[in-house]
Amino acid sequence: MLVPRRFLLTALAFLAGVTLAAGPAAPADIQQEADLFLTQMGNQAIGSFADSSVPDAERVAHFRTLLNESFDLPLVAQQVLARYWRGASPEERAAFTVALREALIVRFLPIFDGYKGETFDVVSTRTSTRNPNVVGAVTNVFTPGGEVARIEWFLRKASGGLLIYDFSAEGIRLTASLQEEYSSFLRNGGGKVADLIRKIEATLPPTAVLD
Amino acid sequence: MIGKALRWPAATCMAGLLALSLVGGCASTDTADSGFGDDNDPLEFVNRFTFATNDVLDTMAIRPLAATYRFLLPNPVQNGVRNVMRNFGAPVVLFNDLFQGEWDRAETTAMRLLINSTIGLAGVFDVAADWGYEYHREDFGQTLAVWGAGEGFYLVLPLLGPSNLRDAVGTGVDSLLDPWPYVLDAATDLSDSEIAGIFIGRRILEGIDARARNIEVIDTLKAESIDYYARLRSFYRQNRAAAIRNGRPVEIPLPDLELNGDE
Repeated sequence: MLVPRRFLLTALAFLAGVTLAAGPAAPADIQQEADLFLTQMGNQAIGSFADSSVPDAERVAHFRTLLNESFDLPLVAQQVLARYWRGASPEERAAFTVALREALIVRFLPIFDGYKGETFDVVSTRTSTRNPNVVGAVTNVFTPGGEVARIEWFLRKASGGLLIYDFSAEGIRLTASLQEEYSSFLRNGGGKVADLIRKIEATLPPTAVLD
Repeated sequence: MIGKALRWPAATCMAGLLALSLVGGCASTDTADSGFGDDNDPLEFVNRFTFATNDVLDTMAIRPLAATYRFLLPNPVQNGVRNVMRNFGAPVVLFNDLFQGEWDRAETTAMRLLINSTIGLAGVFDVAADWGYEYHREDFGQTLAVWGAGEGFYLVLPLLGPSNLRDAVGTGVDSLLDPWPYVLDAATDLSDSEIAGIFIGRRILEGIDARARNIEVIDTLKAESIDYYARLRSFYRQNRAAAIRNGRPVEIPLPDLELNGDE
């Protein structure tokens, strides 16, 4: 076969790997806080996005809001661009962050069409041994094929509360995957971030919000 | 399966590659664990050519075959096909469980083989999973990693797709470990070429079944990738690192806070 099955299952799990989280949490313990954060908003996301009777434009707008509120998008963008971030202008950084957000919407929102899971439960949490303000939280997410994918979310405590800065689906990290792909494009294409932004934007639907 | 006349030359070749993989592994770093860093792809030009060839073949033949397979066979039949293929592969998984000293997993695989081969009607029904013996996969590439071999450079194999030096060696060794061709050889009058044909047919069926289960996933990946080749390379390397760990967690990756600066 062209692509090994195990690898494909992981790709499937990876595609299933986003759910949403947002909102402040009261518990002082960061693990409890992460649990509450993910559980509340994950279940809210399932309720909002698994209902395919809601108009697409409304679902997209809601998804965009939750990404803005729940993810540390500038930090995600920085990790994805890696060394190319340093050479990018402030305008390019901002444009890349927005294009990345829209690409994440295109990639992950369809996962919620007919979502098979009824709940979004955090099954374990752990605090980084190197930074007490960083926590990992594992959830089980149902893939479109009905299989269960293990997703670990990585959150950090920022000034405004917890924010997601990365996640891993069956061992595959979002930022690592995008970083390798985009770096390859930049390395083979002259290293201009503006070209990468244009390339990403070309894959987006006309309804994408790029400002 | 490799025919009887070719087994020893093939085994010798595998031994040589195995030594190369182990030696190479001593000097290599598993960058997939960290997620970032070198893409470990010194043969990228050749790999991209092979990848493109595979992709054309997939578009022209394999995907249509997989779609037809999925259209014609009801889900329970497809599941039965997958279960039978997994059952045929169980001895190789068992060998690798044992090579890695994973005794509990070896017991699980042995019980699966026993239960599904009998009560499961030659593997058609995965009764063992219902009894708590869940399927897992092990291969000799993972065994080599557990023994200390690094991944070696990244490779795209014709038809087989993403791999690396270590896993390519592992694929060859796994074919030598597979007992079924030896069983057929001893128990039937089939010629080497006929046994090889059965082995290849089994691999093709596995591939078609797997492809049929992932048509939409691959379509989506292709459509929204900036560099499909690089994305699959990253997926493969990270996925293999996770498979070698058997799900054991790694240290939480810390973000570079240069941008935010609030810690």
